[in-house]
Amino acid sequence: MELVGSLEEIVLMILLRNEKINSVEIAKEYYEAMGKNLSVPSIHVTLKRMQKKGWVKSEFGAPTAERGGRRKRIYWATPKAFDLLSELTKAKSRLWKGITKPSLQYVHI
Amino acid sequence: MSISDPPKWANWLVEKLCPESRLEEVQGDLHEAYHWRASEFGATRAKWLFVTEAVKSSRISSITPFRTLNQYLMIYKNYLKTGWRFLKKNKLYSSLNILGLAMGISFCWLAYLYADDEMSYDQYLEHHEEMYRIVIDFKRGDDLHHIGGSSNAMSVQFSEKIPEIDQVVRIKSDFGLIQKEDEVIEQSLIMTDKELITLLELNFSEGAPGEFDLPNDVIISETLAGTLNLRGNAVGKILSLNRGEEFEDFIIRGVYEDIPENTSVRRHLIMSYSNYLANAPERRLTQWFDLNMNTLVKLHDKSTVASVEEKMDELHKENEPDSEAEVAMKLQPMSQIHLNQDYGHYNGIARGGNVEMIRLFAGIGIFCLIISMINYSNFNISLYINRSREVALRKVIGAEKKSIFNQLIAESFLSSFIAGVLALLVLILILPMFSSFVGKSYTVDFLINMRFIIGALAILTATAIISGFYPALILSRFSIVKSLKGEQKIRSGKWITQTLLGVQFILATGLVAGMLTMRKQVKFLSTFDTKVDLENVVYHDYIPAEEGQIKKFMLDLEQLPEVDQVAAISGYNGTRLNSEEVQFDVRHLRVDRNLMNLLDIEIVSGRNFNEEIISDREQGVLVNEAFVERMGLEDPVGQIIPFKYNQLEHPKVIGVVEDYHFESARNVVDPLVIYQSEQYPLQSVYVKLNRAATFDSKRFEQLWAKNFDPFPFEYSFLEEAYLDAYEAENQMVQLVGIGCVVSIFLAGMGLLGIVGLQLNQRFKEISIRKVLGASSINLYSVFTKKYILIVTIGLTGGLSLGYYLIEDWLGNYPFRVDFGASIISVTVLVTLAIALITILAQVFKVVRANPVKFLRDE
Repeated sequence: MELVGSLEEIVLMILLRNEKINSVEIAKEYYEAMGKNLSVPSIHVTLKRMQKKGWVKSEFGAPTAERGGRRKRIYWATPKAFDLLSELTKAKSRLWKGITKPSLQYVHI
Repeated sequence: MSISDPPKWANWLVEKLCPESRLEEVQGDLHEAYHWRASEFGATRAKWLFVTEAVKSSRISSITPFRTLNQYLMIYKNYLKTGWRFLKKNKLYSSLNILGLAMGISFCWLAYLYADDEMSYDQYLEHHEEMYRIVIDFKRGDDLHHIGGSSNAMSVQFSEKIPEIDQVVRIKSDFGLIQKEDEVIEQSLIMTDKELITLLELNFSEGAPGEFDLPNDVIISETLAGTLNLRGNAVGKILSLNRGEEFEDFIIRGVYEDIPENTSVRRHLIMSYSNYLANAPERRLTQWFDLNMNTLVKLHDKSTVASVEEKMDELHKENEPDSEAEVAMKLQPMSQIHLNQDYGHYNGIARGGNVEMIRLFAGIGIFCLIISMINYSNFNISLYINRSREVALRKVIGAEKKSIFNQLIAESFLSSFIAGVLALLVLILILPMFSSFVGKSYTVDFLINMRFIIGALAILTATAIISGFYPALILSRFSIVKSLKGEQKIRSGKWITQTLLGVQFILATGLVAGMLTMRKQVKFLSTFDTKVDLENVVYHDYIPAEEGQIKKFMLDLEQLPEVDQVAAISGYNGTRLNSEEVQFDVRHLRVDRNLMNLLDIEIVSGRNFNEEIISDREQGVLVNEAFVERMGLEDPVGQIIPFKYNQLEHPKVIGVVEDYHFESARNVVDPLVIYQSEQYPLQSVYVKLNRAATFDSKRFEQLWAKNFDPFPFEYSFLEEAYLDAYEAENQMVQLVGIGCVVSIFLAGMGLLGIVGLQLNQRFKEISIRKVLGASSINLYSVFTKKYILIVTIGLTGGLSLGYYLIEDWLGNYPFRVDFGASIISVTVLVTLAIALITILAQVFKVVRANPVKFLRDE
């Protein structure tokens, strides 16, 4: 199984939940989900890296007024990414099951 | 909701930082995000985020290779690469070129280092601009004297009565002997006020000066503490010091870090001024014009100098109302003390700098640099003919004149940089030699100093730009078509090359002529007939003892078999002769026993002192011929002269001595009066040795120890002392000599390169001439003529330059050589020989080559 970075993982999940979206929409969804701002250039860098690995594809969309008449690039995840992520999630949940037993160590006092 | 646009400058930043291929997407996204955030979090936050993300957008570019992104970086990298290849292709010429440049640069750096150090004296002190030394301009008749000194009385009154003066520091120098186990160390010291410690910013590594007002308070430097093995536990220790008669005890209050070498007041032992106040005779402290110390003052404000000087003059008039002399009290700025020779450097002021030496150094450094820069330009102009194709091709592809120019300048920076690294190595190698030559303690640490680094880099950059400028200008103007066909000739370059070559020879010849004249002058001075028999004369100078003791020493010396004669003198002092008809400065000398006989000085008329005639001892004087002339005496012997010194008044001339040089032959002989009367203490003892016996200093030392213990035994030979007087001249000759060798070498190298390169372009011509039957003599003369013409022009120019400079220098000497035929002929011979050998060696190679080799390709 290929290694997936934690930012990559979240961005991939956001992409899988949507059909086709652009970077700013990813940033918005990230903000809603995590409650934190993620800078647009770091999304660009992540997307670019994942595109090289073949997990993401992109194309130019139509220009909008909001963008000062510039075209937007929209991204979507590939089937390869879906397989990878589902496998990863399964592995993670298996790991998590081992932690569910409450132990004194993790209780806030 | 109306939302403003993101800041324009940040948008511009995105355009600059983000690679073109991604710009549309990134910029669009940033704008979209801005609008979303502005509605969600407010405009300020959105703006802030936009700016930070604009900066961060440069991260995207780091994914693609960097060098393809910045065209400037790329092009300069290419320039340097082709430049390096070009250097490698012409190994011989490039290494000559760079070596020459390195020599010029290192010489120039040395000169800069020296000049900068000499000119930096005292300027590191925080208050140096407000600090001054009290000096006096003293005018009597037509003679103006500059006196670098003041008196205790002046210091006290100035400090009390002139409110503009903030602090007054008196500095009185002295020396003493320190007993350390078996050896005796002679140590110079100053007695001074406490304020000096703060003004000189002394840092104490041990203890502190405290009040520093007791006669036995001293502070010592770390070096002295080290010599005395007191490092770390010096404070409170007793220091035993002998300043004349017996050892006195002093208490060490503190140890200070050594005072930097570029300070005018610099001693290893500092004593409280109260010691001087306690021991000095009343007269020394109260008499107004008893100038025996230096006074530094610190003003509140440096703009009040003129008014302070005025007030000092007024106080002078109050104290000295009947003085005939015109006296002007002056303030000499602290930073000028070191290099201004007028007021001298004594009484606690460290030895001064030599402005002439600095000028000479700077001049030679710049000469050498100019010669090596000319070499560089000339080499490159000639070599660039080979490169015209490369340049043309660049132009065809679209390079502009400006970019070709930039390329060549970049290359000259490359060469200068390599030369700079070499120069640094040379500098590190010769620095120890150089520093002992100029009597400084420069070490490699000295180079790691902001001023030097900036100066050195400035010299390096200037070298690169100046030496690269002309070749770059010429080459960037080449015509494309001609260059591609290989027909481009450097017509405009030719005469410039030759002019530059001529300039080189002018500079080199000028230096050679200068050096030869200086050598001749120094030789002339050191073999000058001083009219004194210097042979086998030993003398002891400044004997620190009472007269009775000195006389006993002389009697002891006479007992030795190797001693022929003994005499003692006071040293040559000066006074003013005032009569109704004439006023002039006159030197006077007290002798004990027969000095004239000992030094074999001729008595021109009259007679020598006679032991048996009592009146000789009190009223008889000998005068020299200069005195007779100055007084305008017709028949001097038997005349009463208006000379007065202490109790000796109106003495009678019993004889006239020849004008013997009692100082160096650098000056004319001053009027001199010699007497036996006890008006001045004896200081030196002259001993004439027997020719037959061998001199053994041990026996002298025993007698010395018997009479003058614990003062260390010292003696010199008179002959050497006379030669030592020309130390400064000797140093200059050496310096100019080195400059000469370097510049001749550089000029020769330049000639070698130019001749070689120009001949290389004419192989075909020479081959055709040979095939058609030209004899080798014919060929030699054809190809040598042109260069010999340049060298001859250089010689003429150089000789005139040398003449002009050296006449100026020789003007300082009343006894001097002339810039005559012998110097001119030697200079011409040396320069022509070097030039001819260089040229012929190159022509020889070409003429001997097989013509078939160069004609075959057609």
